[in-house]
Amino acid sequence: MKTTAWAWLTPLILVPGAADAHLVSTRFGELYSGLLHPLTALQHLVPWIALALLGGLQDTRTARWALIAFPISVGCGVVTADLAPGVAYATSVNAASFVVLGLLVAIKKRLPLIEFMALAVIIGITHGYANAATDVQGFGALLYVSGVTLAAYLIITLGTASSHSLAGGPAWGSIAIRAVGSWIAAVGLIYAGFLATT
Amino acid sequence: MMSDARLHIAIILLAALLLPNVCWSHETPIALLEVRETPNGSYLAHWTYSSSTNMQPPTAVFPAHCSFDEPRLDCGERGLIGQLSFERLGKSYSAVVVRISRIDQAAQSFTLTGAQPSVALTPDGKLPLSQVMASYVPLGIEHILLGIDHLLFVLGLMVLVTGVRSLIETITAFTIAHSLTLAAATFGWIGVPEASVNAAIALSIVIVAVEILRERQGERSLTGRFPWAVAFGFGLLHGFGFASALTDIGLPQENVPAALLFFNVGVEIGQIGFVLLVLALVWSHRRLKALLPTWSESVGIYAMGTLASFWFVGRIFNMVITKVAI
Repeated sequence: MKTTAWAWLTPLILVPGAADAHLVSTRFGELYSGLLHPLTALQHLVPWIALALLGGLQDTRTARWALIAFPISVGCGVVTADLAPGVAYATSVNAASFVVLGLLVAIKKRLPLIEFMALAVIIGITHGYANAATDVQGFGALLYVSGVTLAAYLIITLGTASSHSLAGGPAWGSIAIRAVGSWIAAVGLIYAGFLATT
Repeated sequence: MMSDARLHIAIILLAALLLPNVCWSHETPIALLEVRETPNGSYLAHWTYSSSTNMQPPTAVFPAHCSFDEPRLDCGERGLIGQLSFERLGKSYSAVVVRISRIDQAAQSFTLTGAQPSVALTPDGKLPLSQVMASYVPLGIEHILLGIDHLLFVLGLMVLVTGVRSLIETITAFTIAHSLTLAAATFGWIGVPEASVNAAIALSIVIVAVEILRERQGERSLTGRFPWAVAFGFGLLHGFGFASALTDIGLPQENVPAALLFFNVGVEIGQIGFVLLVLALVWSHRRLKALLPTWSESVGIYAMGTLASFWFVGRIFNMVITKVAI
């Protein structure tokens, strides 16, 4: 099972060029461009899912706060990139987020509210930063930011609730979540290694 | 002192007058490429296109044996057969309608989209069913997803009803109704002016918003008792809206029923996807006990009604302006 998952995840992660060819400029308008940008790029989608899984493993109050903190942070990150472009280490933080979040899910780590919020905010801002679109101006830019923020809200809400439900359900639920966390951490290591060598 | 209601109306009117561009119904820009055979065996190609942002049409890539020096297209003795495709299709224009008029043959038309940007031209001009499906299903999905007014109406219906059975009945009634008028208008059996339809669609959202508020205040209205009937009635209206989009896109004469069917399938896929997404979000919030305060629901309903009122007034205003200009 693990081998199969690795087989399809690894090439996708290791080909960022192909992942970048997502539907950024389709006719669906800037809102949809913003919405689809992170959803069609595995280097964003996977850590977001990992954060949602981790959120589901926390207590309900902590998980609830992430629904607000993470999308707002992502939106702020996109705006920050527009105001102060060229921060190179955002990509490194994003690569690290793969591993860190994956490991935290794998060990089913429960974090205090403040620490989980800090994690969600940092990851939100750096991933939002990486999702900025330089060629969108004016009202289109507002729609684009709204789209990326909406994507963050959808992933964190649906993912956290699913994880929470699964973790609180049958015994295999927690095991499955932790297994997914270990895969994400492993893929994150490969991705980080790939980035380091290129 | 102006009452709240009058102030509300005044703000909407003022905004509609100041921001007329926002009041247009959603645009699905289509470019038309006409290719006409000349007596000497070559072809002349001519683009017709318009969009609110004045974008250039996609680049046509004709079969390899053809040489294209706009507007002249020369394909030699083999003629215009082979692969025709368009670069950048889907980025600025939703679709390109290609009309090919050959001497001594009925004109052929093809609709290409970002999802299906190429067509294999054959001497008889017939399209395989898979090509029609690949073109029209994405167009249907795109139309419903770009149509915030349609989605807002569906959302209003979802808020109005209680219980899974009622929701299924209501959404089914809406689907059947808009399918009926979509088909009837596409086949030309009935016709309604597009501008009036768009204004009425906006009004339908206002009415649903008012009905939701009445229900919230404990008034038992006809809409609350028979939401499927309201969905059916207004669904007929929304079908005309879908039909006008489909008419703008154009239909292949040899495959009209198939194109209509696949466009409607695309609309339904988009609609079901939206309904499922909303239901999943509701479930997620309940699961995490992340329930919004009661007042926020009223704010949402008022916002929906206000936005739809704004569209309604703007669309009526545009209708009047257009008539005066004519």
